[in-house]
Amino acid sequence: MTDSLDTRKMAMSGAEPLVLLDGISHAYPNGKVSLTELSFAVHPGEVVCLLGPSGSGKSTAIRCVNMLEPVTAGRLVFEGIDVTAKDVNQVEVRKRVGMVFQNFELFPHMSVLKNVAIGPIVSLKRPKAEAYDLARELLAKVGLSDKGDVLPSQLSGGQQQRVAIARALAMQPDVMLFDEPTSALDPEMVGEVLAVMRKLAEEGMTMVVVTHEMRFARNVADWVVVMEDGRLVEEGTPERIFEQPRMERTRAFFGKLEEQDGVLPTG
Amino acid sequence: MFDVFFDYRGLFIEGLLVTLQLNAIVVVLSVAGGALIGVARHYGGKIVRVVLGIPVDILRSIPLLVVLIWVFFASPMVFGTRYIDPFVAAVIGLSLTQGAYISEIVRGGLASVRSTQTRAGLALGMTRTQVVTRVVAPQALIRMLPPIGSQVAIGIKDSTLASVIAVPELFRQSQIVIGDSMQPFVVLTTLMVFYFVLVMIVVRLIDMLYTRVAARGAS
Amino acid sequence: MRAFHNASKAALVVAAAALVLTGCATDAGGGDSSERPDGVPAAGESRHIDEILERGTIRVGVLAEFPWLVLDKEGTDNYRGPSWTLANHYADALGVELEVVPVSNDTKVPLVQQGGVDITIGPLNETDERRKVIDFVTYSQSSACLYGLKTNPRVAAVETVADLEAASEMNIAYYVGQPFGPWLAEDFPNAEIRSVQGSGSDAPIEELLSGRADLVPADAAKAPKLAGEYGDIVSVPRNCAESNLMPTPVGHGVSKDDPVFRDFLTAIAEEHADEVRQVELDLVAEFMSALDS
Repeated sequence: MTDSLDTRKMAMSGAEPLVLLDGISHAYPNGKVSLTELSFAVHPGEVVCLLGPSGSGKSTAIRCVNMLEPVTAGRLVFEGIDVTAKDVNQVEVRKRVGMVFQNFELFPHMSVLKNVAIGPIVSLKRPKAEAYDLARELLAKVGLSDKGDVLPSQLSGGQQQRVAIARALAMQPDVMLFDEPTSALDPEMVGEVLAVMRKLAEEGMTMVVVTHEMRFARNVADWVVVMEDGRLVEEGTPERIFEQPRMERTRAFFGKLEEQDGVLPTG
Repeated sequence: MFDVFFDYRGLFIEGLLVTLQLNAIVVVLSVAGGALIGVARHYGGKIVRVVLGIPVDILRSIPLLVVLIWVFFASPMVFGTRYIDPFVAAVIGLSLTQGAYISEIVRGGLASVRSTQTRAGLALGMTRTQVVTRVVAPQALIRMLPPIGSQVAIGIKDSTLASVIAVPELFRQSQIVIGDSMQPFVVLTTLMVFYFVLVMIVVRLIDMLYTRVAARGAS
Repeated sequence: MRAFHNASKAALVVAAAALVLTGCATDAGGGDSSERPDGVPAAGESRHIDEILERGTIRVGVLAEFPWLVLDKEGTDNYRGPSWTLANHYADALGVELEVVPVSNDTKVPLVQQGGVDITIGPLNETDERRKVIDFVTYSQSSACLYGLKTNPRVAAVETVADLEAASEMNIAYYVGQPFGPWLAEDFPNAEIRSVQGSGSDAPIEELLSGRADLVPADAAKAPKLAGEYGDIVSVPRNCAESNLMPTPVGHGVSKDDPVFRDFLTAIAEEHADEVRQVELDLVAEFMSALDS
């Protein structure tokens, strides 16, 4: 029973991991250690959710993946290449990794359409017409085709986050990182963002998602990683993690969530 | 009563042109120089920030009047000549002082753009330079507009101090006319009206520009 | 936005060009130094004369003040008056042109010391402080007069210097930087004496008009001008031309380190003394007649 629950489809297929964190550690310049020998893998087409209490290092871990935070020890392998090696061009790696932030971080001085087109235009040197065509296509995909000409500040939080997803997608990345994409949203706007993310997952996008949305993790994730204090507590399929957590700390984490929200998602 | 302006029109017109020319050059040089220093101090690391901070702090501490007189008498020694045109000395003195203040405005403006915007730019595969020119600088520029407008207004008013080194700008020409015509009240009152109008035009233009782009600076 | 960028670029280029041009203009000049007019000291005797001949111009610091150096209202480089007449004689004797350099009250003396100008021809009162740092070529003399409003009863009551010395509670104001302070304190111990910031005119008339001062000192030569501009002005003594309050020689300022140059100019001033004095008298007379008409 336990074994079947722990089966990892993508790993079984023998595919190489797209992203491999191999014992990475991270400390902030002030000396505060935030990650200790963290390891997990993300396979192509997989949705991996990072769970854990606030301050457990989930966001730092995700920022290490596109090198917005420098890894102080261990290896980070992206598409078979050790990107912690000194001669790796970080900019080239980031072009293939999309990222969505908790506070959207749209560029306030650009129209919504330009926000989506700016990555391809500046980073990929795409012709403007081509970039804007793609941007319009992606805005339609996130349900905002009529908002291209307005400024981000004129949109609701949920709309802004959908634009941010479109902006990241415009780079046509190999993997998408989501750093608590719904945490800054009013409750009624969470659904529209999660719907877009679910659609992406269904299309086969490789995704790493830091989230507190347990229902999303339970229903969409292929693999769940539980963290605490900068360390991995346990990992497994969502069914296994949610129904038969092995570690006391995982149970304690879920217990707290239940106290707060009164619900824990079931299958 | 206003005959004095017709009688001395040659002097007033020259003063007007010199005042406008002086301020136009000073605005261009101080904004360009202030931007360079401000950007260098924000992005240049600790050593650059501290080293460039020394002249900025010095210039912000010394009265402009002293700077002007010092430049007028000291810069000939630096350039190996005996004399520097008062206009050039005024351009140097005013630009240095204004540039020091504007560099601080630029630095503050850049610092006011939160670091997560830089992260967002980097995450899109931009280089550091592209993040600065495409993401940070445009937002900072919008936020800098009001304080730069105030500083330019202060600069226009302070340009009257160039009269102490005999730059034939409007205030000095007016002093000469007062000395010759013995009509301080009418000349000085008109001068006040002129500076009020000039400064208001500049301030209102910058306000209008800001109002149009303010929404794009909010984040 | 792009248009704005281009405009600012253009402005920068213009600014840079203006800087270069104005910078170059100060060094312009040159000329043939091999020929020396008669009576000019030989090469090597006077640094200033050698430089003036080399440059082809004599650099004179100007600051208009009636009745010595009077501005032509139409332009800024045209002057009249005894100082101007004499300066032209210098130029003629050296066979060069006059090059006008505007100076202010703050720069007229230091520029002579520093060599920024060869001579300051804006009239300078020859005070002891100034004699310590520059030499003078004397061509005129100033004396002081005190001015007040006819409508002020305390002013109406004093007609002569003796009256004034006897009067009490007179309020006298003068501009900071004018040399009147110590003299007023000494000659009129009963008066209250204040220094005020200058507005650019020769005397703090605004202090009179606002009622803050009863009397203000100014050059005696200013009397006709003041009377012309302000009908209510009277002077103490009533006839300023006869005043011998604070008599002070007036001269051109030259560097202390070149006595040959100073003596050369002094000889020219002595040679043309009568003409120079006449120019001054004519200028005052012309002004008086303009007032009468």
